[in-house]
Amino acid sequence: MKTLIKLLFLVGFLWSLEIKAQETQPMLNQSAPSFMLTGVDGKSYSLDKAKGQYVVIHFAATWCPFCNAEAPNLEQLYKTYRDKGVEVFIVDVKEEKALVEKSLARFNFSFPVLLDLDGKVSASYAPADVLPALNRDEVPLASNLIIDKEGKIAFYSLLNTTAFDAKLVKLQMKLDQLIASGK
Amino acid sequence: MTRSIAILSLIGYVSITQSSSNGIVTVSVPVVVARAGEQSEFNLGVEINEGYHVQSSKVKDELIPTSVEFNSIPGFTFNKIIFPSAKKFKLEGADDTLDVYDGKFSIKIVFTTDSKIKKDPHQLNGKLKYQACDSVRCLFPKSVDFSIRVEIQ
Repeated sequence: MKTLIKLLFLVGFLWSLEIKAQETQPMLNQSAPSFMLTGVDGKSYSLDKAKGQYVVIHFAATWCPFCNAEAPNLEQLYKTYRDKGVEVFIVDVKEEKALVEKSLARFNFSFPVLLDLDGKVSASYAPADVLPALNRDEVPLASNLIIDKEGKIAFYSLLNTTAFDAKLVKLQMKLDQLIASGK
Repeated sequence: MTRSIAILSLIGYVSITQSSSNGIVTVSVPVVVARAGEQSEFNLGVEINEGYHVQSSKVKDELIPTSVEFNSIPGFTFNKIIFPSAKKFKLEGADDTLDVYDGKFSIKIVFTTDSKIKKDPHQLNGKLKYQACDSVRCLFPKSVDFSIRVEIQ
């Protein structure tokens, strides 16, 4: 009986955490806006082509301190998860290729860095009514998303104001959860 | 009286201030009195909205420093732009700290006027460039334009 009560308590606790995550993360379970962008490597990348895989997207700019602090951990995450069906994209917002290429060389990313030259892709990921004072393409900067195998947003760190998660701990927890469930 | 004005003009005389703002950063500028052919200085007042900070004038890597630029104007030479000491800002979850400014601070501008500069009032047009963040997000680099009236004695 005690074990059952403990189990119910644990299930309730996990359920409340899930509800809380849904409250603080925007656009969850919505279809991720599709995009086709050119990478710094000159190749074209589209979200549609990555369907069937988990896609981690990080919106960044070379001058963004949060993005730069997170960059080495993103590379580490890719190395850890690339054999588990996980793609990682950095979407650089409104900067020229030459600047991005030069600036990010120090991180030696082994995943693609995509160029959102006009900010339209970034703007498409800005939740409606959030931070209305900002330009729409400004809103997702430094955010991380996980797009699930069906192309839906499963994680969005935008409004996670509890702490800046440079080490991507919460994102990895969600990735592990998705991979375990096969969803 | 003449002596008082002369003393004040040596250091730059602040009588009235005007403000320029773009929502997050407000720049307050004085009316400056300078003497022809001499060095003068004045302070730009800067106020950052609560909750935000801007990168300092000296930054690491590719970050955007706070800077002040003036349009070129005949008869004026800008000698020094002196920024205050930066504060440390710890990025939660990251090992590094950033050098930033927040709240209210002043930037000292030191300039010299040509000895033959016209005695008419002059207008200096400048720009404060910055890149702001709060504790969870960063905004695109922006600038605030400002104008300063300089009276020559």
